[in-house]
Amino acid sequence: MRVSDKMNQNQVLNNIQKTRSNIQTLQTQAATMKKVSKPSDDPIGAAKILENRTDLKNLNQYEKDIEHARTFLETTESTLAQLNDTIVRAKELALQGATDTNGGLPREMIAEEISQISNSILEMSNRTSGERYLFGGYKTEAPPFAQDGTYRGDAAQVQIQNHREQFMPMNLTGSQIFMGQNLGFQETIKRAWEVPKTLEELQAFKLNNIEKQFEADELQQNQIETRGPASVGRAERIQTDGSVTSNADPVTGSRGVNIFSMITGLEAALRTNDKIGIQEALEPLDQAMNQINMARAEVGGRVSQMNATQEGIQKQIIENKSQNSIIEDADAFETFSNLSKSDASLKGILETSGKMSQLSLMDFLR
Amino acid sequence: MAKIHGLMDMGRRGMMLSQTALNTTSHNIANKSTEGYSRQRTDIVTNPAIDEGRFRAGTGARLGGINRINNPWLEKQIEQEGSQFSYLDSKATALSGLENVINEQNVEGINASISKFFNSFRDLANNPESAVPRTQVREAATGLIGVLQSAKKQIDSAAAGVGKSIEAGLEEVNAYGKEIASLNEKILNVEVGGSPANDERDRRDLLIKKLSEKMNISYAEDPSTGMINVTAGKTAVLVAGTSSTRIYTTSSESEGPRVMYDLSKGGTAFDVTDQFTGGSVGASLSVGGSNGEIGRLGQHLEDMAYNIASEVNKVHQEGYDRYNGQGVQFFDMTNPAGFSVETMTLNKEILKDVGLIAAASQPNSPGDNNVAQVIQNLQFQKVMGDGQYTFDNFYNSKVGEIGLATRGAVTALESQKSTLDQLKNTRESISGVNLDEEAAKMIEFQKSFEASARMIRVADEMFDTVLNLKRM
Repeated sequence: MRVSDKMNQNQVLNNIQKTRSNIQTLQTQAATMKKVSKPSDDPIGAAKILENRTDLKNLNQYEKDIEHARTFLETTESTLAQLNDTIVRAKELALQGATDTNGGLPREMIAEEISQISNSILEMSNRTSGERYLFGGYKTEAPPFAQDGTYRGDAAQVQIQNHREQFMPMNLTGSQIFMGQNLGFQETIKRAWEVPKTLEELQAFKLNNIEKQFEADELQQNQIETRGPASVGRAERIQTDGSVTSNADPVTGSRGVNIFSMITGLEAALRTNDKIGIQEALEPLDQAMNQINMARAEVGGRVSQMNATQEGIQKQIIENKSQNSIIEDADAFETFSNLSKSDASLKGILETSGKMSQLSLMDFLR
Repeated sequence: MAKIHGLMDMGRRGMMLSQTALNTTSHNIANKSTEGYSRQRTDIVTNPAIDEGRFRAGTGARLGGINRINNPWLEKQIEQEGSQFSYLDSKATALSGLENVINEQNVEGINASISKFFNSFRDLANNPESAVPRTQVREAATGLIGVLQSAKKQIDSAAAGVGKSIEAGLEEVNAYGKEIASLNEKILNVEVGGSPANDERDRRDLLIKKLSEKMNISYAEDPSTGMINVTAGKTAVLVAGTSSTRIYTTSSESEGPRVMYDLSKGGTAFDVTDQFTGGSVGASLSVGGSNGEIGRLGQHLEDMAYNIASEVNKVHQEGYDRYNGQGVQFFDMTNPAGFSVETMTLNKEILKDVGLIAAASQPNSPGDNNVAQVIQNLQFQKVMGDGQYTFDNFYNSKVGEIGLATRGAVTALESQKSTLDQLKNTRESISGVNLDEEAAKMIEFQKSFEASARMIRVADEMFDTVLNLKRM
């Protein structure tokens, strides 16, 4: 083959160019330790990388959400534990007051302590986590219980997202814990499941809420205190024939207790020496403990559910990272060995071409 | 019988011939690096012989012609492959530029900003009472707008760059057309005399190649005159004999840059844009045209920004803010000129007071986060492309598309480059100058020049001998 000077030159230049551009790519890889530095390096991979990154950010966010809810739930739990202890103490006192042979401690004194207990229950019912009241439902900025025990919060459960399109109620409402309203079978806390996820669901949710509010108001009005001031204030239902039957909700079997009016009733019974009234308070006190324990079980259940979710999230994060690493990270060994290979070949090209282009027939004439 | 006279004449012609050959060699050496140059060769033929009684005696050599060594078929191939190469080169460059706009391998871009935006609403849902996550929402939203706008700006400037490069490309095309027309005239004038216009033809071949690098052309040489007529695209006659016509661009808002051709001077202008599918101008038109990658990406960005704004607004307006008022527009979409990324902005009132961000689904419920939840959940709603894709999905797939197109162009470019290099090598092998060869020729003709001169001297001495005969 006839070789012209320009051909030779082009060949050398092309080779150098090719090797240099190769080295540049490898250098970028070595510097960033990424084999995908732009979408065209791996178009499918690049889209996948972005998807993974979004997932990763979301997973981290869900973890943050969970941590946030955990703080709230832990505060709730410690408050409930304290509340339980308080009710236990109230029961001890009620037992003392229920017998006439209580070592001569006047019921008046016991009533005093019950009054203190009533105050501390009020304090607990108005606890906060950060600046938010624990038991106010959506009404987190004002104390949910007034001095006389009226509830000013609502029955709403704040939903926290703990995974993609997965929500968990975070709070227990004061009406559930302290007033025994809206409880499930055997005083279990009913979870609100409906979380609006789209605009349409949101609109339906809003309508539904208005309806519910209406029903709740009605329920409130229908609740009847059946005995006088000495009554322990549990809600008793009157059958259509007028006879008082069970104090359980006929539908759910729940025996919710209004802790405030119960304690107030107990105090009143103590002060008025109403032995029957005091004795009648014992069962509701048990029910109240049950009610609180159910709430604590619910909190524990939520925390353990969150822990499980969090564990899953952490696993997913690791998977996500390793998957992205497979797509975008350069193999260090391969990169560096390729780099030194290209380096050597560039040296070779430069050396040979330098020698070759020095030679010419002209040098050998004359 | 041969005459001393003839001898002397042969010597003289030999000297002149060697001189011409040396001249060609010198021309070759001088043009060793001239682009598109084909080496030339002095063709030497024997002079007609004369009868010497029963025999025929030679009368030396004469110049047969100076021809270039050139393979026209190969030139044509280079022209075609060069056009394709230039097309891919332009396309790869333009797409790489576009790729940079959406490349967020090492920086935070649109994808990251979308995540941040929705995650800020998740934080708001965690703590709707506090002003801190509200401020975060505002910052994330402003950040998202900023990233979208800067991407749009880059896309617009890429489109403007393509428009400029089409304009510049056509300027060159017109200059080439003009020069080809004038070369046509020269070649005609020279070749009427019977000798080939080597250098002019080399130059014209080169210009054709360059023209073809700009756009797809068709051309044919008129065998009787040696002139080449060039048609750009399918119908725009660029060079007809010794005259050339201009093509030029106009730009329209809706259709992007257009290429126009006047049928006659000052006559009706024809839109010949669609005919250009090759060369760098063809590539620019394909990438930067109305249906090109640049325009499409810009449109996708607009669609996405619009959908984000309107979907978020719809939910936001269902909600209630910190002051128990009905939610306002989150993104300001009241611009009478319609929505566009350039003018996209947050509601001015929200910029001033983050308390107006609505997180609750009902008034007087500071702990209600339902609206914030629905907004953050928009990230997983299939809103884009008639309910087929989520925002992330949609955007990521566009990144993949641009990546694929770029990679396709770059890969094709590499293989095209090796094809073209191969052809160019073959051309250089045939038409390129080799200095060793020229040096050898130089010695050869220098020697024959010397020998011819010596021949004259010998003839002169022979004359002397003859003239001195009578004295002897």
